[in-house]
Amino acid sequence: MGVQLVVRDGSPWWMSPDIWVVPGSDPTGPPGQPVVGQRAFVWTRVQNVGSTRVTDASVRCWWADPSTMITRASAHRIGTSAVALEPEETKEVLCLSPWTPTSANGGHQCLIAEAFSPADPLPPHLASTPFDPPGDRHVAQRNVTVQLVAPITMMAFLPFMAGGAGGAVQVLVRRMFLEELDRVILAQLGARELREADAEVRVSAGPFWPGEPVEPFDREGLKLRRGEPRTLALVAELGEGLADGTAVLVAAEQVDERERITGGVGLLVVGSEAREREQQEARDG
Amino acid sequence: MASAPVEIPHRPAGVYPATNLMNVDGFFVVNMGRQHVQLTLRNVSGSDLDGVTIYLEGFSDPGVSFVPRRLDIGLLRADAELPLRFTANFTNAAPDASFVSFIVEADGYEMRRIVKKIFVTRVDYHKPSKTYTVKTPQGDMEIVVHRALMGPEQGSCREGEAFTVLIQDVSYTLRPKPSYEGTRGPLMYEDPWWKIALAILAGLVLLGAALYDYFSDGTLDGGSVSVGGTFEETGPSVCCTKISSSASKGEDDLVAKGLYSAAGGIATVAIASDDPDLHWRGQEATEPPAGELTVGEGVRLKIDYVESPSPGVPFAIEGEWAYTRETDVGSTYVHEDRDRRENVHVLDRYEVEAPSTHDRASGPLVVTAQFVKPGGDLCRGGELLVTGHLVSEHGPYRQFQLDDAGLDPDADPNDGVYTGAYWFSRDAGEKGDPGGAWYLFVIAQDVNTVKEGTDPFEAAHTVGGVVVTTQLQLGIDKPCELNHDAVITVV
Repeated sequence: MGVQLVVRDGSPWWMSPDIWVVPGSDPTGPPGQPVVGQRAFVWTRVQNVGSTRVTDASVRCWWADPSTMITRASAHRIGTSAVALEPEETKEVLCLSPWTPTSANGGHQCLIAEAFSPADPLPPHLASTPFDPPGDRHVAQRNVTVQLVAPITMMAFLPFMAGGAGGAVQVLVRRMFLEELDRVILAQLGARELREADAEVRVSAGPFWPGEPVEPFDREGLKLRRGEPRTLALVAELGEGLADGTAVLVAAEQVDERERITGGVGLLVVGSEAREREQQEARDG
Repeated sequence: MASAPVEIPHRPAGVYPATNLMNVDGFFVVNMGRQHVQLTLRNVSGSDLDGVTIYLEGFSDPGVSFVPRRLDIGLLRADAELPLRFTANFTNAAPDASFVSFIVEADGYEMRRIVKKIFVTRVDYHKPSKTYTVKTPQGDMEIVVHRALMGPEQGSCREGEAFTVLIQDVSYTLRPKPSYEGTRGPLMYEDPWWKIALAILAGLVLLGAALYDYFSDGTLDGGSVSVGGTFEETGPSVCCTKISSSASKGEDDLVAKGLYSAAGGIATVAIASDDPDLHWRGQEATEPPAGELTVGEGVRLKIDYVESPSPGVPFAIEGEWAYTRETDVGSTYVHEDRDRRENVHVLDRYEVEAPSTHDRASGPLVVTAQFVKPGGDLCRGGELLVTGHLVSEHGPYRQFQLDDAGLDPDADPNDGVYTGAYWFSRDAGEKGDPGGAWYLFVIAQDVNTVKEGTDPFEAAHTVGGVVVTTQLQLGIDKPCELNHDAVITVV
């Protein structure tokens, strides 16, 4: 069976448990959510499910602005690491090149990792070829953002790119529940203790215009024509707000003409009294 | 399960592949492009380790590229210190302090990840002002060489190329970023930057023809600089000799080039760098009043070579220097002094053992060497980086490593006997190893053994990567000597 490198997809596939971030200056510190302007380190869990040892595998890590369609041309390479794996062995690989999230899109970015070796190369691709985690075991994606909000917050949103290469697509939005998520992911996001919020949540999506206020949309999906990349906003109306320590997870997924999910973004909105205090202190100067 | 009980005790060092010599203080130099990442792996378990492997996992600087590769060591004896190397390309590296991580595995243990700091610099050259700039993240150090002893004498070496340059009169300026109050600013790279900048520059000049890009004019666009046109040449000349006069028709004379390069660095290390260095003392003597910020510092140094500054020799050297401090209120503080120093990067003696005749059918050529410190103790384990250089009378040049790690063919770890081997190819064709006389040079360099976590100002008193063996005897207005350690007839 030779060398077969795998970075596992998640459920949904764009929520891989094999990619995570360690914020801060110590790459061996606990996982958590990256902070805009502060460096962080990306880790990837890589398996060799083949029957042959590999001593010269590479692991590339990328970040991209939130999008349901990411290519090597639109992503930014963080760094490249090496790994050696026996058959059936799994290792956690550190990307020692630090990643500093920028304030573009409020600091929400997604991460991609791909593992390959001369004996197990990536499928042929161009810079414009989208990453294909569900179709390629070498690559996986983590595309979820944690947003801390004051408990009184009524709405949260996440701008993201959709459409692009290929044919026409639909963008569908939905509420997910925490129990749908691999608990490992919550731990990696520093959100292990979160509870599902009781709040009535309505999810919508629509065009996003930088600088313009975002309002809830009246639709839970929209169609994009072939070759029509658009910046959209994923909006979560939070009803009565979120109590401290409770959370709501919403998602937007892109579906192609063959009804395959070709990408997705997640937004985990967390009620936080600490965040409320921060905002109050900022207002008080 | 515990992690593999090993450590990498010292900062990994840059080794220039063409000469197989460590750069001064182990700095990596962007101008050199591809370099070896040299490290020492130590077994700290107190007993032998089996199934030991190591690979380089990655660099913090994404501009450094490398090809993944695992070294399968196997048995690592108790307390052994094994020198190892990986190769990486620093052409697109940022001049900065950065990190490199290694993964070590051993039978019965979890893998261990070891992250080490490395230092990377770049030297640019501005032709109109004849100014070199050594790039650092805390500010650029601008160096002007006003006068230098150049070698060879007319006609001694290849045309138009200096083999050695000994800096005689040099000045540098440094604009600290940010300006600072008090005696000293933050220590660049947490290392004695000013101490080694001159040495790196001096060494690089000599390697000019071998550098991928020579000095870059700040653009790394392939521009080059003629050494002969860079400095004012007055007074006596260093009289060099090619390796061919003592050994062979060395096709690229890389042994000589490496040693001459090392000599250029050693002289500046001896007068300007070794503890206590003149920049340090200049700062000490010019403390500005409270509230004044230092915005510029500079040193003018005139070196008097009272003896030939040959590597590994305790030569005397004199320097007349002035340190100048400028502050934000326009004040200037100057401290002048004159020093006489002696090169401390020396051995009492060293011995090389190699057979006078080697039959390649009998296995590898095995070479051993012992290095005695002043005072009589043997150097052991990772205290030295020892490289073997073989130059055929017919031209080919080969390199190999010697170590004291108890790994075959070395008998025992840390016994002070460094051993290395070279397998001569049986094919004596164009790309093979010809028979006949091979000249052996065993070159040892000391290692910066400062422990990680040492106070930066304490760490600043140590410089490593200096040649301590004595193959090259520089001559000022008399011929140099380049002496091999053995001649081996290969059959």
